[in-house]
Amino acid sequence: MKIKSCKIYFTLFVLLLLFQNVLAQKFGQLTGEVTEENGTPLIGANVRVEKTLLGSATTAKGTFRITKVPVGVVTVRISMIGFETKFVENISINLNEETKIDVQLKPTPIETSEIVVTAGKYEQKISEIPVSLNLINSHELSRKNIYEFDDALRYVPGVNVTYDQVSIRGSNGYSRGAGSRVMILFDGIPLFSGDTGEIIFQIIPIHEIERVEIVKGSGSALYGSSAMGGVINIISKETSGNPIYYFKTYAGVYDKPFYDQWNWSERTRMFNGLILSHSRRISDLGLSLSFFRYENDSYRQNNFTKRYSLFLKSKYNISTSENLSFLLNMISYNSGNYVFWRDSRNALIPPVDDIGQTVDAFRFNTHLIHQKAFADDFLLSSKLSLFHNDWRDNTESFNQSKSDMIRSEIQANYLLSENNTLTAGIEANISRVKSNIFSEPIAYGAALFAQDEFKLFKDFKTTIGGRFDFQKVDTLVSEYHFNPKLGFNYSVNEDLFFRASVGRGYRAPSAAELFTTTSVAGINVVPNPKLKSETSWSFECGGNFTLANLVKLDAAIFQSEYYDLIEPGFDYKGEIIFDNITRARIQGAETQLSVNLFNNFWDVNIGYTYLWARDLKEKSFLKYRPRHLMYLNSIWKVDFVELGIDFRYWNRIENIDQEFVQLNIIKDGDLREKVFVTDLHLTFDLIHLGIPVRTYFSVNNLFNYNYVELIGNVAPIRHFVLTLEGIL
Amino acid sequence: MNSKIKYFSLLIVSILVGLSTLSCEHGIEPRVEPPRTGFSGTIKFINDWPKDVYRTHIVVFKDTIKIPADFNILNIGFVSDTIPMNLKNYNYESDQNPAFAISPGVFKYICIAQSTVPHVSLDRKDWRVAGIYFTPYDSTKYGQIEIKEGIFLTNINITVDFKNPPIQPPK
Repeated sequence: MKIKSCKIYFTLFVLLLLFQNVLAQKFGQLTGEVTEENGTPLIGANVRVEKTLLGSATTAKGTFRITKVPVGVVTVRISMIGFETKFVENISINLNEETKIDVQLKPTPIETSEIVVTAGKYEQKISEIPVSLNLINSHELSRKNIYEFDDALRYVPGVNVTYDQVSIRGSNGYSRGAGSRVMILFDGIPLFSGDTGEIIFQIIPIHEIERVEIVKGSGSALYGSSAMGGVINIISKETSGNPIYYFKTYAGVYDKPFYDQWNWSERTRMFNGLILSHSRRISDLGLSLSFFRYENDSYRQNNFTKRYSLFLKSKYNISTSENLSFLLNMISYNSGNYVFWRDSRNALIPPVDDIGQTVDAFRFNTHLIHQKAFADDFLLSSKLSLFHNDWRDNTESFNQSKSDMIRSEIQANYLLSENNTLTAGIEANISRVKSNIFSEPIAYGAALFAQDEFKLFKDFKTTIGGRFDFQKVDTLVSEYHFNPKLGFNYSVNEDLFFRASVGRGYRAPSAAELFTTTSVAGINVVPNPKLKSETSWSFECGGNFTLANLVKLDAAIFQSEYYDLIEPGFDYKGEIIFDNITRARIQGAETQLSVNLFNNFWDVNIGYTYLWARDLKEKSFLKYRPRHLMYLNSIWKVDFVELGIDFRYWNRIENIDQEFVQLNIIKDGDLREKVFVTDLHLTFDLIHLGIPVRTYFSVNNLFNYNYVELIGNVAPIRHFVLTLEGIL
Repeated sequence: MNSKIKYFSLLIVSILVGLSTLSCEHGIEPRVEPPRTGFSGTIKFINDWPKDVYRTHIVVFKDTIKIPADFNILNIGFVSDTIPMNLKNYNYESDQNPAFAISPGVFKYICIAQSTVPHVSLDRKDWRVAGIYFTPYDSTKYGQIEIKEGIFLTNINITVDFKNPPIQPPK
C-alpha cells in the first residue's frame, strides 16, 4: 500500500514537471563556439544564460548547445579561468529557432574579475570579497599531472599539507587522522566522514574538477564546524549540451632512492591510472559518467594502492529557472597500511610487525540539489547529501568503522537591491557510527545562518553575518555556538582594492577524538567524552593591486586566536587521550606576486607566507607548522608547448610529536630537514594543431631531495609521469 | 620598461638557478647505525605453563612496583616481543623487535609478566609476575640494570618456576 501511494506521488510529480514544462514559456535554442583569439577551440568553458539557471560546458571542438532558452533578448556569460570573462548582450532568441553565437576569449593570466561562489555562498567577483581566496583550475591540475588531490594544495600560497592533513595559514598541525580545521566541500557540500571527521582525499575525482576555491580564514559564520581555518570548495565540471567522450591514461615510474641502503626492491616501482568519461545532454537532462582505475606500487614497502571509482552527475533543467542535480561518487580501494619507517637506515620500509597490514575501504558521497529562481532576484537552493564511509584493517586490533553522515540545507539568496544581497539558510545533519574503535555514537546538529552584503558607500562593500549552531553527540552534553563575522571590501579603482574581515570559528570534536579505544604500538588510546569544541577568532586585512594585466600583487596580514585546541597527549596512566590542551596564537603575513611577460610567453607566480605560530601554554612553536612557506612557479608557453617549473620551500619544522621520539616508537623520528622540492612539467597541447589530444610529462622532485612532512615518513622520491589525454 | 623586464627576467632566472642549486643538498640522510644499546640473556621456564595465559613478555620497570598505579606506561622502560608459549628456554636480545624499546637509564625491576586477558591492558590486575631478575647470587634482592648508550649488557638471566612464583607486586 505504501509502495503504491509512493508510485502515485512520483507519477504525479513527474507529470507536474512535464506539465509545467509544456505550459511554460516558449523556447528557442542557443548554440555556438568558444575559441581563443587564434581560433583554437576552448574546451570546458562555461556558457551561462544570465538571469536563468541554464548553462553548458564547451566540447572538444569548443562548441556548446543550450536548449529551452526563453524567447526574447538574453545576455550570455562565457567564462573560463585564465581567460577574460565575456558578456554577450542583446542576443535574440526566436521561437523554435537556433541562434548561433561565436565567441573569442582573450587569455588573461592576471585577472581579478573571476566569479567565485565560496566566500559568500553566492556568485561574486573575486575582487569584491572581504577575504583572501586562491583558485586552482583544471588546467593546473592536468599540467602538474596531479593524481592525488592533496598534491594540488601543496602549491597554494599559505597552504601546507602534512602527509594527508591540509593546513591553511597554520590552522592544522597533524592530528593522526582525527578531525580537520579546514572544511572541504564538493559543489558546496561538506565532504567529511562521520567517524574521524577527516578529509578523505582519495574520494575526490580530480578529472571532474572545473576549479577549486580556497578561502583563507574562518568560514564558520557560513559553514559551521571545521571551517575555522578555511574552506576548500571543489567545483565540478558543468555537463555539456553536446556529447563529449574523454579518456586519460597515465603511467609513472619511481627512480631509485638517492641512498643505496634505502633501495629495498629489486623491481622498478610504478603506478598507472585510467579514466574514461562521457558527458552529454538528453533533452533537458545533462549527464556525466566516468570510471577511474588507479594502481600504485609505491616507492615504499607495504604502501601500495589499488583504487576504483565511479562518478555520475546529472542535471535536469525543469525550466529556465529551475533545475535538479544529482551526484553519485563511489570509491573502493585496498592499500598497504604504512604508518612510519623502521629507522632512518631503512627509511622506505615499515617496522617488521607492520608488513602485510592492509586497509580496505568502500566510500561514497551522493547529493541532490534543487535550485529555483523566483524572479530575477530570489534564488532558493535545497541540498540533501549522504557520505558513507566503510573501512577495515587487518592490524592486531582489526579496526573497522562504518559511518553515515546525512546533511540537508535550504539556502536563499535575495537580491534586495543592486548593491545589497541577503543570504540565509538552515541546515540539519545527523551521523551514525558503528565501529569497534570509535564506539557506536549518533550525532546530530542544526544551524541557522544569515549574511547581508551591501554597499555602505560607493565602492565600499560591507559583509555582516553569523551562524548559530546546535550540536549533540550521543548522550554527551549539547553545545551551542554563535559565530559572527564582519567584512569590508573597498575598491579604489578597477586595479586596486582592499579587504578586511574578522570572524569567529569553531570545531566540534569528531567521534574519533571522543570515543577512540584502541592500541597503537602497544600504547592504549582511551576515550574522552568530556572533550568540548575548539573555538577561534580570526582577523585579516589585505590589498590587491593589478597593473595593466601584467602584474598582480596581493598582500595580507592575519592573526588567529585559538582556544581549547584538541590535541592527543599522554594521561597520568601513560595512555593516549585527546584533550582540550592548547591555547594558541598564529600571526603572519602573506604576499603573492604574479607577472605576465612578453605577451603571455612567460608567467611567474611567487607566494611567500610567514607564520608565527605559538603554543601560548607551552610557550613553544606549534607542532608541524613551518615558519616560512614559499612557492615559485614559472611557465613558458610557445604555441602548443608549455614548460613549467614549480618550487616549494618550507623551513625545517621546529616542533613535532616529541613523545613518539622519546618513547622510541618512531626511531630517528626527530630526523627532518627543510622541504625543498622542484617539479618540472612539459605539456604538448595538440588541440592547437587540430588533434584532440594533449600529453603531459612531469618529473616530480627533480633533484631527488629527501624530506619528511610527517616524522618517520619520507615524502615521494623522484618520479616521472607521462599522461595522454583525448577529448572527442 | 624593456630593461626593467630584462632585469626582472634575470632576477627570476637567478632565483630558479639558486633554488635548483640548493635542491642538490639531498635533504635528510640515514644516520650511522649506533653501537648496540640494551641487554640480553636467557629465560629458563620450570614446570608446565599455566593454561590461563594469553601473552608473556619481558617487562622492565624504572622503579619497583609499590602500588598498583606504578604499573603504568611512564614507569615502563622496556617490553619485549611476545615470548612463545610452552618453551623451556628462551634466549632474548632487547633490540630484536621489541614492543617497547629501551632507552638509557637505570631500571630497578625486571620481570616476566603474563597477561591473563586477551586484549592489551595496562591494568595491574590483568597481569601476573611469573619471574623476576634478581641480583646474581642473591635471590632476595631485585636485580638492577643500568643501560648506557652504546653498551650492551649480557647474562640478564631469569628463572621462571610456574609452581613457585615470586612475591606478586600489589594489585
